[in-house]
Amino acid sequence: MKKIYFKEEYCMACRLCEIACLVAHSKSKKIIKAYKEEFPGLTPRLIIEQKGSLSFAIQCRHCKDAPCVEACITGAMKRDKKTGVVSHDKEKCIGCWMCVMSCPFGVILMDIKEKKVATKCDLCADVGSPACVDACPNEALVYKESEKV
Amino acid sequence: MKMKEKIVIIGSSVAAISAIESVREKDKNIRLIVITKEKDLFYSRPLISYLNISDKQFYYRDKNFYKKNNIELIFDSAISVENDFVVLRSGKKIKYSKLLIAVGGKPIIPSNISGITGKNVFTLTTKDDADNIKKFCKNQKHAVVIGCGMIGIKAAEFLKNLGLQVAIVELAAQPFASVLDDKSGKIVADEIKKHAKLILNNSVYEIKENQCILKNGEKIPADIVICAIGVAPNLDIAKKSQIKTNRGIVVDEFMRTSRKNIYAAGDCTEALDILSGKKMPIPIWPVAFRQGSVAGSSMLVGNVKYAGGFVRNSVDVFGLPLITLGLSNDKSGEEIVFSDEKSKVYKKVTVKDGKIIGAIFVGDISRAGIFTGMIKDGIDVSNFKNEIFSENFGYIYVPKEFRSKEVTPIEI
Repeated sequence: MKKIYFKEEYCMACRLCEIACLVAHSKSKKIIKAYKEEFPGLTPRLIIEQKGSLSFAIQCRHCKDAPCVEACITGAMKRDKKTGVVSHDKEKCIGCWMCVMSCPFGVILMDIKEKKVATKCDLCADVGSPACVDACPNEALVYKESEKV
Repeated sequence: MKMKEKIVIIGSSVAAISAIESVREKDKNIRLIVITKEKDLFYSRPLISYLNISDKQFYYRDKNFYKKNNIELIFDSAISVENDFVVLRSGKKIKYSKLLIAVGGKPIIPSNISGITGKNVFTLTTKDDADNIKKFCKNQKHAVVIGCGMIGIKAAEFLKNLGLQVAIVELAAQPFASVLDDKSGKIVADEIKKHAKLILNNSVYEIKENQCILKNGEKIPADIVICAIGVAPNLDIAKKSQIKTNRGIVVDEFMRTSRKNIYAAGDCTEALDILSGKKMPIPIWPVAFRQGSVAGSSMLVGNVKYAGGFVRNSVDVFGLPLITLGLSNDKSGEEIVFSDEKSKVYKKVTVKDGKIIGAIFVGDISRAGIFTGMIKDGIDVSNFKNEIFSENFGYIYVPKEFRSKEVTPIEI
């Protein structure tokens, strides 16, 4: 399957990916509107980490034996065996945070502003290509096929 | 496997479901038979106490799961295993070539409390239990919960949401005594006290029709009592079938029991605990899922190993989020603490011999999984342990050689 990978040596921590992610998951999909009208209600689906000169943006890895899927007590978190995509169903989620406890990358976030549910990278499923990758000016984020699903 | 072979699974909760998925991923045709006592299938046991949830949330696999996976269902109780067949309560015998015991745990009921067998005393582990409690609670006022752990808290929330006044009686000096330290125990206790009466350092001595008499002589009103002391592995079948048991059914890394062609998974087993290096029951959902998956694979080809687990839990205590990992109340290690009393946040990581052995998160549980990963991989944190609760802490602290290839595969 195609996954998002980061090249930490290229990341400048410019945070453009975070903005693109927020906008892509906003209602209006427009940057000014999203920030002016929806901002406190938006949770980005990726996390930018920085330590000294090192930085990267990290989001759901769509793991094969995904610990979040194993831990999910409602079946909200599931992995499509054909595509390899780990998806999250907001309607099924009850916000027990078993997934937050389980994800070793710490990339499952808590959306507690509207309804208390988990949230994470969906690879911008409705658009086709991940907004964070498209926004990265330095190709530190790449969207590539990996050999195994 | 030969066409005539068939896999029989006793139980229908998470370990069984995960085993089924694992078998069907590899073999669409082998006969799969599930023997279950449950009338209602695929519901999530941890959710039985939730009142305002939809069916979509309550059932964690869809209604067609058994049909889609081509499962033959037998609604009966398995009693024992003789030769190569399972004996059912109805007297029927079911032949197997591979058998998986996934019968879960049984609530512990203390025999020294007088009145514990009364009609007003319940346990809370199945949907039937929850339904019976709901029925019984109509027009009742006062409830007592014995035990303030996972089930005790969920029972208390359940009863409160049913409109009863709840008192929780706990033997220890704090809630979740085995996993919380004094400080986190106090924060959690204070939160509970806003919603229920919390009686610590005490126990129920006698249960009467509408009151409980405590060890210190105190009497508290109790129209209904829920016994939530804990759960122990269900060894009934194993013991009658010459399968080796200790605290749980003893299994190896392939989930094989001591008897040939018989496997076990989930809360009924004792398997490797990576923190102690010993076998012990770890009755939590993700462990049951993983063990079920390994067992399913072992029954067919047998090349996937169970790497061991450790205890961990996430629970919401009347709205206060709480996660504990591993030996969270072990006092032999170095403790790194972050605490903010005003916002009810308390976080602690315990480090021993350079490795994290346990952690507690109260109030702020964000990214707790990073520590789960570090415990699992046995990452040496000596070089950055003092930065664990700094603002910049994250996955970036995991040394590059340990970062999963899921993040930066070589070919990219």
